[in-house]
Amino acid sequence: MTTPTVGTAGARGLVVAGRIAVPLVLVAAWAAAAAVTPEIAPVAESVRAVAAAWADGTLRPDVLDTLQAVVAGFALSAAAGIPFGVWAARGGYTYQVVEPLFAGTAAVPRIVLLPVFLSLFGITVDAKIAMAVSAAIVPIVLTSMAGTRTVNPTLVKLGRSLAMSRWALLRRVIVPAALPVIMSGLRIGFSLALLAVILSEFVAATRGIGLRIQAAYSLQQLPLMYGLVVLVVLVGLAGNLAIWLVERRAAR
Amino acid sequence: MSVLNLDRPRPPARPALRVPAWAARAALAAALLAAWQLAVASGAAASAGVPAPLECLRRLPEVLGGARFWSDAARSLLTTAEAFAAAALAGLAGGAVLARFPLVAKILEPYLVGAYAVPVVVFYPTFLVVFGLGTVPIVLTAFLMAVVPVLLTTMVALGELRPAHRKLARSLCCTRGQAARLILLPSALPLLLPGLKLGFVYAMAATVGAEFIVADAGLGFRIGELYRNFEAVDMYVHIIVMIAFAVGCNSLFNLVERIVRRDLT
Amino acid sequence: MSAPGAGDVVMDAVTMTYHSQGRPTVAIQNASGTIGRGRFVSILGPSGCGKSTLLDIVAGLTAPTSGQVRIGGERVTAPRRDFAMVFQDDSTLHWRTVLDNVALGLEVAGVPKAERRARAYDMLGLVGLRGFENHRPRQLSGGMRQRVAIARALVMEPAMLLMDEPFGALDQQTRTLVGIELLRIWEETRTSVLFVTHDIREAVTLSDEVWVMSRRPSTILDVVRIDLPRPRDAEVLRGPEFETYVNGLWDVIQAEVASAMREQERAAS
Repeated sequence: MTTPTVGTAGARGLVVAGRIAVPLVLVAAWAAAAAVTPEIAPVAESVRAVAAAWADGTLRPDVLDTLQAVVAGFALSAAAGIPFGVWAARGGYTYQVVEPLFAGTAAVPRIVLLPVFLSLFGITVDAKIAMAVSAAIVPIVLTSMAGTRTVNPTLVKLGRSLAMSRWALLRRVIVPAALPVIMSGLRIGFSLALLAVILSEFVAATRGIGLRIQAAYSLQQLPLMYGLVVLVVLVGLAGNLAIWLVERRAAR
Repeated sequence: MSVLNLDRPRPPARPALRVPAWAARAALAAALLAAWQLAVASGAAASAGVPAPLECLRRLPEVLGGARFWSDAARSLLTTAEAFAAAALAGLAGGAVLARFPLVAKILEPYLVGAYAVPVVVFYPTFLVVFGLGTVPIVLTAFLMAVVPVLLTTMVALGELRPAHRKLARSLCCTRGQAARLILLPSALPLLLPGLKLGFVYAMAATVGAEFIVADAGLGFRIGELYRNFEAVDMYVHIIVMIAFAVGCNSLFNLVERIVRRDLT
Repeated sequence: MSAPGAGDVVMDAVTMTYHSQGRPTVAIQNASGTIGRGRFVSILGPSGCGKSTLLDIVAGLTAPTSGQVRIGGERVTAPRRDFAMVFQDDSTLHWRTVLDNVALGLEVAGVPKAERRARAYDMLGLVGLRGFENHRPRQLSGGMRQRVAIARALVMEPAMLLMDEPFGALDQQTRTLVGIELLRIWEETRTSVLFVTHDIREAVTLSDEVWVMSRRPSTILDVVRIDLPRPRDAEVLRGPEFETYVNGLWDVIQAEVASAMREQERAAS
């Protein structure tokens, strides 16, 4: 074989170089596309448009409103979903009843719930939070159940043989053992919460990055629109990275 | 009952009277509907303009009998199917290629995993700008959303033979093609299904979502329009049908999965 | 020792050195021996002594650092069609029927379908799984799955059968029963066998010769010929001679393990 195999020093260098190259290639492709067609705004102009909107203070409330909805929806989903999932997984019957409920509704496009939440909460941040919860709680509950069910029964026996209280058993044995699976659910949950919030803002909102993208689209302010789209992508990546870092800390 | 039972040991009690799990779920759904009905009847939900479920039920045959509903449903389903088919083909092929070239897969890995974190629907307006109003931007958005899980599961499923199977293939002097045809592909097949299912769910979510934002037809578009026109009853009927359809699709996938994975049970 | 015959497998000064974190570790040092044609040879040794690695080297799955393995004067450098293996882990293909699992090697070798099915069917009779042709592995017990793996190996009519702790994942009763079954099958086929185990009684029950391996750097410490009559029926396996062999091997192993533990204690203090 002429190509270096994964694991050798040469291959590691190639991987690092390749990983650095990927975003550069993406930006270059964007720039090339912008040069070809006027419907795609140039890179520098897009960045400038977002920076200008941030500098004049008009973008800040939108970003904060979006972040608030995503973080609140995500936190509520985690706070309710993890305990519920762990509880529902421990009994055989409860699990049999509950699991298909969540697995089945996972397939429902969340956007159809938006009118319901809008009629209940009005066009407020609460409606966006409700959307985020409806999206994020499903993977969090499903992975909490799955993770808890994969906990090695011997560990539970060990805990009980040490006369641990139920709380101690949960805190010291079950949740830590199920954590890697739960963390993967949290990451998916965060992504879906962001998706739900942006979608809601596209449709009906008084503030939010999604609303600003929608407005920029209507007004054909293409540089601002493209810049904001990239901003949302970066928010998604940053949130995921943050959860991943917590996950790595917890794994140690 | 469960290995994870945390309670203090107790002598086995007489078996509790338990209904089947599906019946318990049905009862739960019925209770929710009843609560909804009561909330509307008591006037607690009046300010929100929420219709009663019985009212929606009475309206259901009329909506399902109309041609408009079926043309909307057909449009949404066709768009979803196109995006899903393209995503399945591209995801399976791309995943197979990445499994074949581990170095490339290693380079792209963080970006592919990161792609899960990107709310793909945010690209919809850019596609609208480039391609104009129509089904192309919607199919493209749904495709991008669906291709990620298919690609990732394919890559993982085809990436590695189980150690015992790898030794077996080598000890039998299998050629590369034989190892792939006789051992790798059949063992990977059941693992591809969850990725395809997720791909379909994502394609449908993106399609209905994009229709909701800007479109000229489709169930997502119709629900949005009914909302804007304050036709609450029809809107709720559409929402309920949509939920039932999605849950049905999910059950269908589960059925396929059970048939394909028969050898595992 | 006489000159090696045509079907004999010869290990000649096989040495295996690993490099971990820049430091070489000698796993196997100068292991030599001859598995005579039609002989049942066991490699007996404590866990982690490199017996499985030695088996992989004989199989051509792993290349030794130095030394070589020959069959009939020909060097083994890669897996061979006339060598067949049975592994410790379940290696049956769960999506294939029992019959198609047994026929797998023949399929790879390009044997026509009708012939391979007929041969696999006959082999299932030999391992006592007639009637289970169309079952899936999941429907069988662990012991039955290992018999499927043995049938898959034997249907190739191999010159050499290599077995890597094939009963290691089974419970004690099943293990004993499948071992007796293997004896019966082997009496009918008389294939050369190299059998890796850490179970002394299993080694004595099955073998013509037991090679005792030392701890690392491993080498073949002792070769014990088991001159018990065959077939090894209950009378033989409960006789005083059987116990003498077991005790003799136990003494060799115990001395080895004891000195290993002393060395570890010295290193720790």
